Amino acid sequence: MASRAPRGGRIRNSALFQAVLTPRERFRKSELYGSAIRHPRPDTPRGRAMTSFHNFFLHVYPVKVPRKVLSWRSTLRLGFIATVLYLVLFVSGLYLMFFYHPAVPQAYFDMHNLSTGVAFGQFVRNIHRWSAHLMVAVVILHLLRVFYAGAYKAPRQFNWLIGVALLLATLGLSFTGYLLPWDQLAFWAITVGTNIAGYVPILGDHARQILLGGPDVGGNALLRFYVLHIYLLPALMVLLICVHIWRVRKDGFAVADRDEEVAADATAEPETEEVPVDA
Amino acid sequence: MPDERNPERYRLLGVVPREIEVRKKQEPEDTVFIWPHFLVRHAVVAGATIAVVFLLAITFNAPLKDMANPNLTPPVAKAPWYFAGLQELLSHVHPMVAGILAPGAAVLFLSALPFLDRTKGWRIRDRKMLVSVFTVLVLAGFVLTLIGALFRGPEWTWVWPWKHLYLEL
Repeated sequence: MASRAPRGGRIRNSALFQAVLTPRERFRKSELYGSAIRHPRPDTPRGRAMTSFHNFFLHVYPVKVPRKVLSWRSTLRLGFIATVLYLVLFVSGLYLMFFYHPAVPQAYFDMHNLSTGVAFGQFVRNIHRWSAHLMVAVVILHLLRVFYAGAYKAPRQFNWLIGVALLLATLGLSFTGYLLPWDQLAFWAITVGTNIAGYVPILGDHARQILLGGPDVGGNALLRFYVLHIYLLPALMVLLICVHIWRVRKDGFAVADRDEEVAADATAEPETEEVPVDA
Repeated sequence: MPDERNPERYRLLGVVPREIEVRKKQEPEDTVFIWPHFLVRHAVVAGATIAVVFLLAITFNAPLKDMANPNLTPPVAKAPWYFAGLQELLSHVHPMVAGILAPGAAVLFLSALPFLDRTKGWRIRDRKMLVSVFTVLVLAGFVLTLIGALFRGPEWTWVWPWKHLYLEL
């Protein structure tokens, strides 16, 4: 009897037994977890700060934010919603790419196959289409909110400029994607849209032909728009989004600045006092 | 300064006069940790966004017309909705103006805006002039887009949207 208890303990303390009984705790103690997640649990101030410092995905956030930013009204979360929509587009677009050939007329047949012969094909296409339209709308609303909030003013001028580039990239992505189904709607919308390019000064119709890869919207245009849509513009977009969010961190939240100005307004002169500084 | 041979002891190197520095009185920072306060809110917004997209995707199918045919012009060829304003402008003025000058000027104006704005203060009453100009331009763009997207039919004629809506998304 006396010799059983230690043996039972040995079994209970064995790695396999713990892994079965308390998999979560065992995993947290494992070398794999310890090497990937280096911060303590985020249940103390120190743990929370360490979590931000030691996590790649969280380091885009500041460790602490002004309490004002928590209010929905502070930013309406429009920039964040646009980013989420971009991620939704990124993932749904990847799925669509598996079933699509950027060639005439195969592209159109692929669209039909997508709605009849591919699991969730129509659903994923719907997601891609509606989130694309939503993203254009949300990006425009984001621009309007930032303007009316005066959040483009120093030191955020450059981030506004990146924002304008992001708007153009968003429109470019939406427009190039519009041609890909290769139906009447796509063809004539792009024909109307690109006819404008024929009026570019100096280059004239050459500009349109460079864009289309030929005199009219055809197979070359489809391939060009496809490459822009799935390679060049998304890469540009990711880069610009990263810089944009990074600058928000570096420049600080506009909401936080406003409080200082409110405080400064309340007392006609900025509140200053002479503070002796010991050398 | 710590003594190198004995770090516990300090040597007096010199005496400097006391400096008087004007420093802004600092309020204690009113900040919160991003976890959980900020991240939980972001998770809610992300979830709601995805829910809306899923709801739209379940309810409405993305359009797919007949195969592209360069020889068959449809009754109305509309650009995507965000370019409908430019297309509407195109029906009134020279293509050079509507297609190149107007959008070019809009992008230039947007890009230069923070550098043109010399006003102090972020409130709307601090920059009435700029806000007025911007609002008029945005409204003009909005109205043109609305007309182009909803009120135009075959041959770009005026069609009330409740009679027939020529809008494809």
